[in-house]
Order: sequence, then structure tokens, then C-alpha cells
Amino acid sequence: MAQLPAPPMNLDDVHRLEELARRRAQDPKRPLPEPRVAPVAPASQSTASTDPKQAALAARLELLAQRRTGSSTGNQGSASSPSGSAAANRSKRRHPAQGARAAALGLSIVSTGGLAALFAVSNPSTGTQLAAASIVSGQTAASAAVGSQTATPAAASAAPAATPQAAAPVVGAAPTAATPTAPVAPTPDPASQQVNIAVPAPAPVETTVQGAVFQNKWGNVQVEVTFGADGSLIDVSTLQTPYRDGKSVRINDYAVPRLNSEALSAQSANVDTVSGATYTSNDYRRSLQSAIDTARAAGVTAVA
Amino acid sequence: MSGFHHVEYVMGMAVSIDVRDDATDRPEAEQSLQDVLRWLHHVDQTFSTYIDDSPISRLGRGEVVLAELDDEVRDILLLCEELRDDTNGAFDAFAVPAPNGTTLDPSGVVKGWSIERAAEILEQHGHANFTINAGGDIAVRGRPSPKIPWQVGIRHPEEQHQLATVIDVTGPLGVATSATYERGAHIIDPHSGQPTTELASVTIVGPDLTYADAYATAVFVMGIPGLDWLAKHTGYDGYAITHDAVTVSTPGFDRRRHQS
Repeated sequence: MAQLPAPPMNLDDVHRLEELARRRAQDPKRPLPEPRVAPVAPASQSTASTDPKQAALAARLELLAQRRTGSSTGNQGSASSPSGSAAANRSKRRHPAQGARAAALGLSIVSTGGLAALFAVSNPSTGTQLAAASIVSGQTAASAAVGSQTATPAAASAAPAATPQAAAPVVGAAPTAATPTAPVAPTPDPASQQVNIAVPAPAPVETTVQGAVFQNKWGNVQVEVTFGADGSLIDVSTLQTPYRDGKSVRINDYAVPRLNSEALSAQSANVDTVSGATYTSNDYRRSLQSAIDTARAAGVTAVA
Repeated sequence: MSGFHHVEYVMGMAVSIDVRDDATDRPEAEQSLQDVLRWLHHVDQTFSTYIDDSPISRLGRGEVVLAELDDEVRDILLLCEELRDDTNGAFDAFAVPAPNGTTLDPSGVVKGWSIERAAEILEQHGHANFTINAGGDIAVRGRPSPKIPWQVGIRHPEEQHQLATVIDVTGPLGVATSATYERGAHIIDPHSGQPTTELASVTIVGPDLTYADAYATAVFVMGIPGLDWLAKHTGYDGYAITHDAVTVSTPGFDRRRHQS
């Protein structure tokens, strides 16, 4: 496996610290709950080293039970929860990992959303073809798995405005060396952040451009982008993040092509099988044989 | 008999089993298949959050304690905890609103894990060259025929019948994709109410589908920086597609791309 560039910021440390801080902030004195479940007999598949892990797991199950019954006020940890009746729903927002997750998402949007937009600019002729995604509320495997909230109809209706926002203003800025004049979004809006990044036309020498400062609830974020003489994106640095300054990632160590230039038809490709996330059950059932095993090699005998 | 192919609808998805071994006789093939299908349905009954009286649903409601359940439930939850630590909470089975009304849902790891185990069952029956594709997550073993690798297409995120790319794969390997496609919901940041990611899909390849599947979910949540996070997991490579149709991939993934 090839060596990848160092992470732009050490998300591990940041998130662990953040999670610890959040736990403490929510619950400065409350000890970890005693495991309610009986110790599990060692199984053949487990090793002796899993004992602390099992204790931790038992503790989490206990927390789950407390959330469920509303018996614990400690792990809600805030006066903003007006009652315990909906604790099960609200507890998700209170989960200690939530902040870290949200922070990771925020960082990823800040540090990479701009990249996406910049690459769209670097190829403006195709920049908007695939930018818009229709948005339909519904449960997917991915959303269920990561525990983020599925878009409600209300949220979904707000989202379409954000999608074109991500592409159009940036593409419009491409012909000239725009300056970061777009107002900083007052609320965390991943799409608008992209607007604030200035993009020069291809220059004869390397060009370094600083993006506008984007403010979100975790702090300020600002990126600096370096273009090569041919206008290609060479480097992106984060000048400010809520956590750490000055880290950068050499993105040209990655392959960053445009997808539409290499997309090919599953019908014509001689592929054995196709990887892709599924829809909900019924959707998937409808597209069963067409989506999976497209163009599977002939001559295979079905057993059942 | 030149192998066999079977599609089973289980765990809320299609599971396609494609065995290419030359010398597979029919009784053995049928026994292999039955063992795999029995396993998959057992997993479904145990871990389905769509089944109200499944062990995982009862555990989530507190009707049973962990010690009363099969060891595999504990093993899965321990695996979930391991992944939660490793992903800094991007993967968390205890923070998921499940269809059964609880917030305990290990589904994100059960799928990859169960398919990896299913592949082991086939191997125990002597099969060496096959794929098991569970709703787009694939356990790969061996080759489709001598000297030829499996060609695995990665679905285009917005065109159901198009491929974003094709990789050449020789087993053992897992290939997993997390995505919200055009008909799926955006994953939104519960704090801001805004879509939380510009990624349309993430594909992870690596030696164990259990982890490839979980890492795909985690990187999807993390965004493109998740590919840097992935770098510390030896043997795992990634390929991300943004909603703006930019693709970002690790060098190891690019080396697998099919050269036509």
C-alpha cells in the first residue's frame, strides 16, 4: 500500500479530546454506570483481552437502558431537554460521539467541499453537469448505519437550494481572478463556504490564494490553495481550523479525475459484479438482477 | 458442472452467490449453498431491526440482557465498539435510530461481517473461486477463471446502470460501497439540519469485507479526509465520488483499476 500524505489534521486526537471534553462537560461527576449485565462466559472466539472491552460494552448497554427508561437525568446533561418523555429520541443528539461526528463532518466539508468546487472550476465546461442531485427523503443503508438523521421532508425541502449553490457561484467566478467578496454565511452552511474561495485563472507561475474565513459553530476555518502554472490544483492548506493551524495535505498525491470522463456503461462493460449501496428493500428488489451481476459471464448454472 | 449461481433475498436485500469453481459436483454445490443460506437467514433472524422479536430488538428494548443471547451478538457489539473507537464515533451502533424504535442498531457491521463469514463457509466446502454480492458489498475469492481477475464495477452514483470505474480484483478481498444515491436521503448534520457530506459514494477495498464495509460507512461520514484516516489501515484503499462528480482515490485503489 502506497504511503499517503499525512492527515491534514489529526482527527483522531481532536475527536478523542473533544469527546472526552463533551462527556465531562455533560457529566462532570457522574461515574460510569455499573454494568447491569452479568459477566459473559468466555467464548471460544473471544480472548481474555476482551474483558475490559466487554465491561465497556456493558456500560454502553446500561446507558442505552437509561436513555430508554429516562431513569437517568445525568446523561441528558442539559436543561434544554424539556422532558424525559422523548428522551429516547433526544438522546441521540446528546450522544457524546455526536459532537465529534459533527465536527468531523464540518471539517470535511470545510476542507474538501472547497476542493470539489475548485475542481469544478478547473473544468468549467463540465462543471455543472453532475453537480445537482435530486433529494428524496427516505431511509438508506448508509444513513441508518451511521446514525445521522435522515432528512425529514422539511429538511429535504431546504436542501435543494444548497446544491445548486455549491456549483453555480463558483463556476461563475472562474473566468476572472475573483476575490473573496461573498459574505460569510452566518450559519453553518457547507455549500456557501465554497463560494468564498477565490479561484484564479491559469497563471504562468504558481499562484497561492487564500480563501475567506468561514465561521461555523466550532470556530473559524480558512484555506489556502496553491495552483500550478497550468492552473492545476497543487496544494491546499488550512490556515485556520477550530482545532489546529497550518496542516496541509498534498492532494496531488491522490488521483482526482472528473467522474464523467471515465464513466462507462455497465451494459457494455464486461464486469462480473457491481459494488454499490442499495436502496431500501423494495427499491432494491425491483432492480435486483439488473443492478447486480450485470453482464455476468454466461454459462453459469443456477442450482436453485 | 462449472460452478453455480444463486440469488437469495435475505436481510432486506439481494445476496448473489456466484461460484466459478470447475470441479463442483451438484450435491456438494447444493450442500454449500444450503449452509450459506441457512447462515444468512439465521443472521437475519438474529440481527434484524425490522423484526420486533429478534434478539437484537429485544436487547435494544431491554427485554433481555447480553448474557442471555448467543455469543455472536456480543461479538458483533464488541466489534461495533472497536469500530466506534477506531472511527472516532463516525461509526456508532448505539446512536442509530433503528426501525424497531430503539437506538441500538449494529446493522452497519452485520452485513459485511455476515458475508465474510458466508465466504468462509464456502471455503470450508472447498470452494476457492467465487463472489458473494450482498446488496453491492462483495466478498471476493480467487478468480473467475485461471489467469483472469474478477472485474468489479463500481456503480455510478447518479446513473443506476452506469459504472464509475472498474477494478480488477483477485481474492481474497472485500469491496464495499456506502452511498446516498439519487433516490436516497441525504445524511444530514443533526446540529445544522444541512447535508453533512459532499460525497455521493465511497468504495473501500481491503482484505476483510467486515472492515471494508464499516470503513466505507465511516469514510462516507468523514468526507474526503476520511481517505487519510483510512491510510493507517494497511491493505485498505478507497475511492470517493463527490456530488460534483469529482473522484478521489488512494494510490492503491488506482493500481487496481481495470486497464482496457
